[in-house]
Parts: sequence; structure tokens; C-alpha cells
Amino acid sequence: MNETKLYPDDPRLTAYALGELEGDERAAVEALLQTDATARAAVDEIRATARQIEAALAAEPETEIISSPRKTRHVERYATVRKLVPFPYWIMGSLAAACFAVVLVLHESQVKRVEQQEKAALVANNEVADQNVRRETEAKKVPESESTSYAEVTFPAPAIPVGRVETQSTPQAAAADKTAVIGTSIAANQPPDVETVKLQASDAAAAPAGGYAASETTGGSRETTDIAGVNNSVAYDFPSRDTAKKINAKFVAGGLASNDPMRGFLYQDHAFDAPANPGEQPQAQAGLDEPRYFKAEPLVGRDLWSAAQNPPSTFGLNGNARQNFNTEAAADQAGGDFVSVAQNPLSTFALNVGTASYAHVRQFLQAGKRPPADAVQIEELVNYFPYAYAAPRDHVPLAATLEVAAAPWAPALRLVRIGLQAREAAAGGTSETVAKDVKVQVEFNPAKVQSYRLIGYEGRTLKKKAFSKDTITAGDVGAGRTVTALYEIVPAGVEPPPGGNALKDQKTEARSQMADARDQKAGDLKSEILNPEILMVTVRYTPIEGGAGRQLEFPLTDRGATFAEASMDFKFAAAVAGFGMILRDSPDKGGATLAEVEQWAGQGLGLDAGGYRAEFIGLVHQAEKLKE
Amino acid sequence: MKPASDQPEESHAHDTHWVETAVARYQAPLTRYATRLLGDTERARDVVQDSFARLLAQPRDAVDGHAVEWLFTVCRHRALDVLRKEGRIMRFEEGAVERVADAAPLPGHELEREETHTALLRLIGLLPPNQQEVVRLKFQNGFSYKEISRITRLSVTNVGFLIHTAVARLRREWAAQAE
Repeated sequence: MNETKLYPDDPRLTAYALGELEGDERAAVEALLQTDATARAAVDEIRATARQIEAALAAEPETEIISSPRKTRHVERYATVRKLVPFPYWIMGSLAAACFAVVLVLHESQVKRVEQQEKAALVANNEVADQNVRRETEAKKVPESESTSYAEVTFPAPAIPVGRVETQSTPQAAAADKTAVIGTSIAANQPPDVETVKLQASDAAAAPAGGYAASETTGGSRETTDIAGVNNSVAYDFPSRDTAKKINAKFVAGGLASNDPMRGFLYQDHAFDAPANPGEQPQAQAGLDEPRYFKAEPLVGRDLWSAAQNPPSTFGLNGNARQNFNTEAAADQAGGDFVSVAQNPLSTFALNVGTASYAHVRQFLQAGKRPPADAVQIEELVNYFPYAYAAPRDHVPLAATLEVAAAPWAPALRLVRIGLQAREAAAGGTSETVAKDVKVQVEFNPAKVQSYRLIGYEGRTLKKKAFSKDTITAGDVGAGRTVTALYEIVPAGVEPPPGGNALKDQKTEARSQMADARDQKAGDLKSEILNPEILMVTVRYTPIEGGAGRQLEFPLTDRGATFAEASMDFKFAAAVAGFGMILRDSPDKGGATLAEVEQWAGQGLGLDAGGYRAEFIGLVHQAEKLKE
Repeated sequence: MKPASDQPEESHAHDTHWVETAVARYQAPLTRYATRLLGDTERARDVVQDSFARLLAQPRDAVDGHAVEWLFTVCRHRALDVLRKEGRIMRFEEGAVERVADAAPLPGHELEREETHTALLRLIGLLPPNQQEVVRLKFQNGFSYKEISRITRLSVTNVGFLIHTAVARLRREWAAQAE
């Protein structure tokens, strides 16, 4: 029951005076006012003051800022710093900066793959200070046995010095390393009371294969996670037009000096050694890809009205590409065909994959018979086996593990493994739903991926409708449920594999690429420069306790791992997929042979709790015998 | 497993008129609001432009009826992101943001006998940032306590307390200044 006794200086009096009280509280104040003259006078004064305040604020000029000493001092401090310091250390101008500053630098010396690759990023020249770039730090474990762990860490990024120096990090940032919970807002079209947070699995270096970063969007109540009590949600910004112009100018001028803060924009994707002399091209660290010089098209300015036709997408696709999946031609995607990203950047896969096909195949082979192609459902074969996926953390019901490496049957192509894992049942609980109405979407980055092929689901038609509507994959997910999907990817700039469906996409690909090149020019700079990801997995679900829908986002960046560097789970899943393609005599099986399948499976054997994998290898033997 | 929906594809609203109207009406107040949060107009403009871009991406149904509150919320969120990145935010406290701002009045500064509004505006400008923000949301942009609570993530009680304190202080200072 509300305490309706009003004390002197009670905020409820102000609330009443401003018309903000309702119901019992309001009645109580009115009752008081009847008897208390002081209170009545107070209410009058509050209202009078409020009117003055309103009038004054209404008179305030709308577009020009009332000059405040605050601003001048701020600018001066930065200017001072710049003069004093030879290297452009953009030291945060405020105390708070110390709590947040994470300084990442380019390694100076030629090193082989090191344990920490760090990328420099920039900001904080006041003229270009507008935008920040997301920085990534990868922690790579030196491969022991056959598995390598990749982790993707995103830091909220304040000012960063560019050029050679030692890494500084504050206790908070160091804590960030360990707790590794960081916020990054990615999706551009989130409802306002929703925050998208990018999480990283904790202790990522020790985590099983795959890099994962999940971001959680919550509707309604705010549920972002804190590092040391601080919310680090960081928005993903676009460079302003001026910034983009400057980048372009410098790029055209032929490279940037090592201490030029512009470098971060261009060289986001790689770690470089600073060139010995300004003006020289930076050298990629040994073992990495060739440095890529992104063409920094100046932003054509954000035309709000054309933006209406181009709902923001993760990879800055213009709206046409994004909406194409609604058209007839794109509506049906039979599993197994290569799909052009330019035409169909979105893909989805069923969460409720059965495993019956594996049992059938086993039955045939053990009876000495070759299974008919129709009996071989590759996605069911792959999903028959348990894989070690990171469990979801905190109160997130689902987590994704992503891994990418060379496709063993076609090493020029990349193989992506997506594993979704639902959290386990609460102690003592039986099978329970942990998330409702779950939908999965994979969005490919057209700047990085030419075409993709969802492995399996042959003969099944997956109609892709608008993600926000019902899709074939919507459903409740029970505790402990896991699903694995494999995508074969033709990276941008790679010759698509001959034969089969890939060819037909090539022609349409060329045509649409031209159109998209035009569109992309007018599109977001972000997609070309700031986004090294090859794909984004988005999982939408409704929490079991009800409330607004939530969205998790898992990006994947391709570090160029070879098949040998992939995890055991990856190798084994690839082996199973290869086996399925051979059994189906699929045109996409590339150079796969049963002997190789057995090799890959052997490399991926691992602990093999339950002996399932050993049994699979036995089936491969059986199949080999049949050929003879 | 739900059957595939047979609904027609949603027509991407080519009607952007409602957004144009919103821009015409609210761009200036939003810019003002964002400028206060960020400290400079140029970045404020970027943030405001971004907010409208996001509004465009919304289906109209989703925001109809509370588009203004939506805009302010998005704008605030984006502005705070910018501030966070620059480390100008010290800590979070129930969603409130203590921005590192030199809000203390300059020593020795004398308030001249100014025109009414200017004087009061100056006093408002000297309020602590969190009080100032809710005062502006309430008295400059006309939001209710509840709306302010949603925009700023503060509880309604907290909002009420901040406004109460700010109004009382302004009342005091204003009276003192007039003497």
C-alpha cells in the first residue's frame, strides 16, 4: 500500500504539479492540498517555475549550440596532446578514458604466426573523430595435436595510437580479456529499446574449435552485460562522408605512413608490419594473405529516401539484393545447389534434423549393399554424431559455434561449419523447451563470398521468406538440442568449381555482379572496408518466460585456415559430408575418394565417446569393399 | 514446426511520407537534444541522421503512435555509444549516465542582468547532465515521466526525483539571481 504521507520536499508534489500522478497517489495529494496551504503554494510555485522553464527552453535556438566552455576545453586538450607527442597517441582527453583504453598496435617486426595478432585501429583525430572502427584481436593457439582454437574478440575502442609501440592495457581491459564479455551493436535496424550485444565465449583460447561471438539483442528490459560494472555496448559506426573522402585521397596518393591514423580504415583485415619508410606499402605479416587495398569509395552521403528502399543489412547490401530472395526464382533452394550471394545473400536451415538416414545407410552397407542415393541425406549423416559445442552462457538459451577452413575435397573452396547448441536442462529438469519459435538465418557477405552451397537437404525445398515471418525453421528448441549445418563457399575472386550447378550461377553471377558493383558504389562503405566477416548467423527466438523476441548474432571471419588446421570435429564432419557425397555420386564431391574420407575421419576421431566415429570408419571400409 | 506462411510478401512501404513528416517536425529538436548529449553539433547531426535512417527501416506499424519517443530513444542510445567509445562516460548507475563534463561554472563568472530566458537557460545549462537531460526531455520535448523513463532507462521514480530536484534548484537559483 502506498505511503501517501507527503514529506516536505517530496518529489510526488512536483509530479502532481506537472500532471504526472495518477490514481491513489494523485487522490492522496489532492486530499492533502485541501488542508495544507503551504503545499498548495508549493504546487503553484512548481507550476510557475515549470512554465518559465518551458518558455526558456522553447526560446533556445534549435540548431546552434549555446557555446559552452566545456567544448572549447575539450578541443584544446586534444590539440595540445597532438603537439606534444611525436607519435599520434590520441590519448583520451578525460579520466574515464583510462578505464576503457585498449591500445592495439601493429607489430613491428616480421613474425610468423604469433600467439596474438593485433590490428591497429584508429580514431580520435578530432576531424575524423566521428566514427570508430571495430577492432579485433585474435587469439590463436599454436596448434597442438590437430586442433586449433580461434577466438574473436571485439573491444570497445577508444583512441588508439598507430605505429610501433608496446601494448598497453588497463586492468579493466585485461579483465575484459578474461571475462571476454563485450558489447558491440551490429544490426542497424533494431528497435530502440533493444540493445545488441556481442558476447564472446569465455576463455575462448581453451574453447573447442571455432570462433564464436554472440550478440544478444533484448527487447524491453535492458540486458546488456557488463565488464567490471560498465556497459560496453558500442555501436558500429559508419565513417562520415568527410572521413571517407580523406581515406580515398590518401589511398589514391599511394599508401599511408605507418603513423597515419587513416591506416586503420584500410587495413582492418590484416596485420601489417609498418613500412620502413613512409610512403612504402606495408608488408603483410608472413603467412597471411596478400594485403588487400580496399577501394575507399567516398560515401555518397546518406540519402534517407533511397535508404527507405534499402533496409540496412549486416553487410551493407543494398536493398535490391536483400529483397531478391522474395522473388520466384530465388524462392526455392534445393539443397545441394550453389547459390549466388549477390542474388540470394540469405540462407536458412532446418533445426530439427533427423538422424534416420544414417541408420538406413548403415543398414545397407552392413548388408553388403550400396545404399540408394535417396536414402542418403547428408545433413542427417552429419547430425548423427555428437560434436563438442560451447554451451550457451549466462541466460542466453542458444549459442553458435562457427568454424571455417578449406574444404578437403576442393581446397580452393571454404567449408563453414555452424553448430547451434541449446543450453542443458536445469538441474533435475527433464527435457524442457529452452527457447521458443527459433529461427536461423545465415547472411553471406557479398564482398567476401561469391556463392555458397548448403550441404545436404537434397531434394528438400527450403522456401525462404522474410526472416521476420514464419519460416520453415521456426520451432521450439529443447534443452541440450544441437544442430550442425555445413556450407561450402566459393570465396570472392576464386574460380567457381566446374560442372554441375555452379556453372549456371556463374553466368548470372557475372551479370548481377555488374549491377551490384554499381549499387555497391552507392552503398555502404562499411561493407567494403570495415567488415571482414564472411557471414553472419542470426538466431531469433522468443524467451520461454515470454516477452519480446530476442536476436543473437554470430559473425564469422575467415582467417584462411587450411584443413589441417581445423578442429577434429570439423574434420570429422567434413569426412561424413564427403562420404555422403560419394554415396550419392554428387557432382560437388570434388576430388573426394573413400580412402581420403577415411583419412579425414581418422584425423577427426578424437576421444570418440561412444565409439560412433570408429563405427563410421567401419562403414567407410564397407563401402570401399563394395567398390571392389 | 509451423507451416510455411502463405501471407503475401510485405510490401516494403514505399510510402515514406510519414518519415518525411517526422524529419520536418523533429529533426531540429532531436539535433538539439543530441547536441546536448554530445557537446557538438556536427556529431549530433550524424547521430540524428542515423536515427532517422533507422526509423525508415522500421515498418510503420511498429512505431506508429510513439515515433517521437522512439526517435529520442534511438538518438540517445546512439549518442551514448559515441560517448562510450570516447571514454566520456564514467559509470552506469541504473541506466543513468554520468558524463564527464566540465559542468562546474567558471570561477568568478558573474551573471549579468540578462534577458529572462537567457538567464534561466544558463542555469539549466549548469545543471548536472542527468538532471539537465530529463529536464529537457520533459520541458523542451514534452515527454511524460513514463516516456522519459523508457527513453533513458531510468525508473519513473528516478525520473521524478531528478525533475523534482532540478525544478527546486532552478527555482532557488532563479530567485537568487533575480535579487
